[in-house]
Amino acid sequence: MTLSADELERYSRQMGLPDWGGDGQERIDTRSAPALIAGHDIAIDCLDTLEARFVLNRACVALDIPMLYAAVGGFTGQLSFIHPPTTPCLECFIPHKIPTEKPQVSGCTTGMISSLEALEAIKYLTGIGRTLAGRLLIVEGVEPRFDILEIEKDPDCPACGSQAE
Amino acid sequence: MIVYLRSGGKLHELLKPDVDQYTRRVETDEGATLVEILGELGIPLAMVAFAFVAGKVQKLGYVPSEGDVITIQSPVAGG
Ligand SMILES: [Zn+2]
Repeated sequence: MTLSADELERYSRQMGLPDWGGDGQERIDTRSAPALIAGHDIAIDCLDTLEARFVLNRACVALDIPMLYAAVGGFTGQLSFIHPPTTPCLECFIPHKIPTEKPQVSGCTTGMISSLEALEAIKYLTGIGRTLAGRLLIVEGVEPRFDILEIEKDPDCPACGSQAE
Repeated sequence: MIVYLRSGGKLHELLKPDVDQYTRRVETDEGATLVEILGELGIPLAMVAFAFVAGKVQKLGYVPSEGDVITIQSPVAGG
């Protein structure tokens, strides 16, 4: 199913996102990211572009702060706990320059992945259970299918490899 | 050799499944990379972020073995 531009706009309005400039809101970029996360125990990705996630990933690697990666598109969701050098980072398995379209996302996919993301944060912060460190959860809501996959570190990763930029 | 490509996500229409609703049987040369296989099928590389095979994430340079079931994943960016 593909939403028309009009349907997408109407759907997005339903999300009720506040305008930029509200209290506590700041755009994330390479300049602002380190200050946004410095001193925190974990960064919980609720971002809406891959580009912003790569920025957060690099800042987390640089400051040695764990990051929960969570992304959704359509009825697909992905989730992982990232904390190099113990685990791979985002750029170890997703090419940095890959383009993405404006995502069309179902609210139920977002709700499911964000709840699991919150659970990962609770487990890490309290030390209970086992996080998705070094593993990637992929949910294909349409089939439906849940896969938990092993991810490997890329020794040539531009973010966390030996030749990191 | 024969490998199987599958996608339950956005790529599944491009994949033109023929084995079941999500899977396509592909005959390819031994030693071909996933990039080459996707090229033969006309699937744009920009639409594939990575793949997974037997519970392990693989990059697009992966060289499949006979009978591999390779699930391809498009990038997802929403949150
Ligand atoms: Zn990395």
